[in-house]
Amino acid sequence: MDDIFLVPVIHKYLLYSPLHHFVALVDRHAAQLIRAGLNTQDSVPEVLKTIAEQLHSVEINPPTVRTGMLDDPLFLGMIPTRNCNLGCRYCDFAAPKLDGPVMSLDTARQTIDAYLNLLKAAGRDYGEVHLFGGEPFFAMEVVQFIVEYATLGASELKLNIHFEAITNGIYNSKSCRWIADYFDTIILSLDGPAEIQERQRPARNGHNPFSTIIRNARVFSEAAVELIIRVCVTSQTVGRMAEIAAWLGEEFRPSTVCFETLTESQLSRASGLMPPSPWEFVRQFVDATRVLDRYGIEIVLSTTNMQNIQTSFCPVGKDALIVSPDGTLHACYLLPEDWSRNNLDLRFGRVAEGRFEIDDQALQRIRSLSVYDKALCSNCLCRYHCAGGCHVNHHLAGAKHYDDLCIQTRLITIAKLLLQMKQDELVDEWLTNRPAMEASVMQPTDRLFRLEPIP
Amino acid sequence: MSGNQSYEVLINPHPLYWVRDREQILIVDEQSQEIYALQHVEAAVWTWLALAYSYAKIVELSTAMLGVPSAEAEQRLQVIFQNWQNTGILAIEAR
Repeated sequence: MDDIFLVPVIHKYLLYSPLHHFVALVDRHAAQLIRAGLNTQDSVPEVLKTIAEQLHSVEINPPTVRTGMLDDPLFLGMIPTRNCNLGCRYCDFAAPKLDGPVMSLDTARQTIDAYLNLLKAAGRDYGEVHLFGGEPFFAMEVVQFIVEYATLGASELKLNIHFEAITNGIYNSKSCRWIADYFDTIILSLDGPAEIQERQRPARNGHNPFSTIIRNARVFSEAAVELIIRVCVTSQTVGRMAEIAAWLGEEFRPSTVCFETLTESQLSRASGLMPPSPWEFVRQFVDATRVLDRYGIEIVLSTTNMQNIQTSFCPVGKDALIVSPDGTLHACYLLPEDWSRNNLDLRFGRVAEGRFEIDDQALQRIRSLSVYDKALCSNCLCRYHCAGGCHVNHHLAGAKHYDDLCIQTRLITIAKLLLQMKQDELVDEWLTNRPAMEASVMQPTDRLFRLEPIP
Repeated sequence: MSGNQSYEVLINPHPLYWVRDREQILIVDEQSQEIYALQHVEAAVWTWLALAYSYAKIVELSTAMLGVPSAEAEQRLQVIFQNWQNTGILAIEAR
């Protein structure tokens, strides 16, 4: 009952309980009656009884931080290489691009042995192998070995393995068809039509890879592999999100388009690229939602996925086993330099002799990184899905006010909940009323049971 | 096939089609109407051949996959290639 939230939306109130999977739109008087009724067990008027009953019903338990042995990893992440053939102007992977280390076949083999044995010992019949980079397919032979070897091992142990990779889409046709045949999910980074993609994601060798990426995106569209397209939105492209959505819907067949805002870095600043304003982003996000809906394509901003009730936004804290090219075990796929800058150490072991050697103290320290330690999140309606966002790039320690990332997540969460209730007109009115949007996202607490009266 | 000799490996000259699922690769020889199922290491080797990897690279990948010395992996490969020649799904042509 504690985690029921109330957010003003112009003259109405959004009542949201993530742990009941419940959302309603009420007026101020109804909100007051519901609050009083739930608080004092007084009866609420007949017309509000259904709502009160829903909120009195058994809620799912708040998510908890993992404890005990590591026997249920979220997935096995493998980083075949940090190298990449693109020179994205906003890339926050400051690793060497062309001559960095590549995972040896022996390390790949031992990693897969360790993962499959862990799954088998835990009595599981399903696992996931996710490939990250750099560009994972820049080490194509290693990837092809990983997939073949894991498929062979899984078949012998009667395990079903899901293969997923995030990629820039630059490889020849033959390799692309192999990827389409052997992978279950491909997350393709594609920022938009040619002029956007070429400006933001140029190749390192001076060639223009756009036509190759488009050809490969079409191969993925026609194959059984699930295609997810990830678009990085900047202040320069935010106004074109609906156009980008329409272009993606016309050209390809993704299941999902993931619009993520630029993470500001030294490189992005040097390139003159900035994140968009959250106020503009939410307007464009709603427009893009409607465009993609016509194509039956889901739209996602990762911090607003309300299906996930969680204490941590990302793989950190969920026992993901992310193996770097040298066999070190990490909880995060970002670079160790990035964690260190933020006083985090997300290493918790290594792969050796075909098993994971896990530093239990480090594992517990990483597991404890959760939304429950983020004071700013404690009264936010997004606490159980955003969970404070990225542990490395979203700085919340000591923060007293919502920053742009918080505002963006809160605005889109509210818009999504309203759209879920088919409140399109209200959403449109709200999006053109900046003071109303500010009133929604800037209130000191979203909790229904706040000390202050409902505004 | 090994050492300093150089060979060109050719997929069967008449049309072959293959599909792959979790467990195996099924090869259909349209001319003879025969179907062949390749599993485990054979399926991996077929894939690497189809991706046009060199013999040396296939030996390296097979060595890692089988977890055996490369000479042993090469022997196993020879047996596989010989079987495929016998069944007519692969022809190996010396340069």
